[in-house]
Amino acid sequence: MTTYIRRVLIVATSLLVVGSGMSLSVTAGPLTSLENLPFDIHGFLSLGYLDSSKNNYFAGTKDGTGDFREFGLNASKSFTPKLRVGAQIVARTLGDVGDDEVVLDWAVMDYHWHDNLGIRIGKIKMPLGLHNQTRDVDALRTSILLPQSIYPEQLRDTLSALVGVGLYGELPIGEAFGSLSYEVQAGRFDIPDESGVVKLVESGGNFTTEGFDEETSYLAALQWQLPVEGARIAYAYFEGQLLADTIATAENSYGIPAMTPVTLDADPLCGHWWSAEYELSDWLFTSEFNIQDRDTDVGGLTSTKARLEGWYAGAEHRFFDRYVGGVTYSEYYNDRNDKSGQRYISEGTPAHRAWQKEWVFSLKAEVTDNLILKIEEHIIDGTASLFASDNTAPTAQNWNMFAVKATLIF
Amino acid sequence: MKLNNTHTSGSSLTAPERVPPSHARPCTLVWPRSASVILLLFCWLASSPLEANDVVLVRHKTTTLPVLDKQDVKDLFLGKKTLFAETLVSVATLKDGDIHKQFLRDYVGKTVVQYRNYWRIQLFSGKGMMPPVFKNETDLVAFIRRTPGAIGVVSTTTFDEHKNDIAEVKVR
Repeated sequence: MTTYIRRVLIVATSLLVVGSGMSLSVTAGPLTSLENLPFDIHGFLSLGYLDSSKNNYFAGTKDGTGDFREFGLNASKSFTPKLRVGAQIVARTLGDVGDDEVVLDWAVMDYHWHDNLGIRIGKIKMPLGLHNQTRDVDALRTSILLPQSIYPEQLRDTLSALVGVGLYGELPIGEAFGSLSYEVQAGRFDIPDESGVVKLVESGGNFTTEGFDEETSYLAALQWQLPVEGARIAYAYFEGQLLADTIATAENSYGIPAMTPVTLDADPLCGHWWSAEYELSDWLFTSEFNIQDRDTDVGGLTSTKARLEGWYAGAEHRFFDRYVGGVTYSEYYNDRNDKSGQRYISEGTPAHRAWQKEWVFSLKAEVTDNLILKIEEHIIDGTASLFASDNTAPTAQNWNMFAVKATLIF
Repeated sequence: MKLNNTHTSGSSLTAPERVPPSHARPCTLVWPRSASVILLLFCWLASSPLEANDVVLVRHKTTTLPVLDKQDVKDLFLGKKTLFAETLVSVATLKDGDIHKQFLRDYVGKTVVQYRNYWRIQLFSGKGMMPPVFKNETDLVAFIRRTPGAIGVVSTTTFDEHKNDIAEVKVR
């Protein structure tokens, strides 16, 4: 038995034992002491473990790591039936990203003027795909890790929320056609110090990040509930600009003198998200497709253009009401015009850096209303999502990853 | 010049230089072929209307509401609709139990767990607040009785017992 498989079995068994014990001690329903507060308060705490067979996945997963956790707390209050105010803080860690830094996840003043038109002001979650607005809340989905083809970890806390204003509502299209809801937003990123995008900029070893200048970004999203029970499709478009103020390192590959200030200008940073979901009794079928353009100017010296493509399709089945099993297949390409990695081959690097194809098998147990346990296996072909800084040794094309997670939510 | 020749992630602000030939203009719309297939598949599927028994949709006595259809009821309990004419409506629910299960199944198309998860998504994404939840029908009736605009679902038995305190919302 390999070390990887042995570790997987030990952790899975431990999770079941711990979960069984916790289920006896965790009360169902809201915490009684919180019910009498003048506002609603809710939260979650997730602890996870990642273990991969060959490559490191955003953390030291080859040796198994528990640096994988999330915490969140929110409070909301309705001052009138139309006016609501709320905010949520989160802290998370995945390897060396996040570092348990407490950041403001969202904070909104929401005036629901009419069902057709409401306005939100503050830090507003971005509806890019079906799960982006709730991706920090592990309990609300079946899988532990969202498909990297649509929800890349590197930009998780960047493409999370905009500080600005948003309009939303339901558009009257006639009941025969279902219902159509919309969201439009304009605002700026609010990037935390320990963001994944910092690691993204610094991973090549060329620059160290000093800060970001966030320009105004725009987002438009539509969601159509089809006149078929349980079916919806959605589309979102995002366009923005992000400037990273960096300092060239001594070993940068551009020949820039060390300590020279260099601005990386991602303009445009834009993408299209298509989503479809069909809930049929205890079955849930989901598919999403994403194209992202990231054109980046490097200090006026040169520029890069990248058009990324990703998609996934998945099916879930709920059984005994509190258990969900799911399988997902996803594909992600760094360059939709070079899916076989010819450019990487020409550079003398492995072609499998161009793609990442994954089968993911997930099992979620809602042990109580407040305790969720998950276990998940990834079978992966390709390394397109990996960081060089996490993988100093040569990477392997075919590899596996195992994940478990326990979440308390109230 | 390579921007980042040691980086294994092309999904990067500093990804290696490339100008794909079919990518002259960024941000151009690309329609995924798979989306057409999925859209057609959805259009083939027919919904199956559900019948409800033994549950009564009730309201605060002074709250005026027209006769609702099933879609109205579903939209109300999913927070998608809050206004009927000039009447602002807010829903309250039971925590669990057969009446709650039957109502959610027949009108909302969800199980208790799915319905709770739906509202948790609204809550944790900053898009809404969970409706008030009550452990029994007596508490739910008391809330509706003292809250103008409130609606909820109780059993026919409970409704018969409190006919003087709350009113029925007609559903066609």
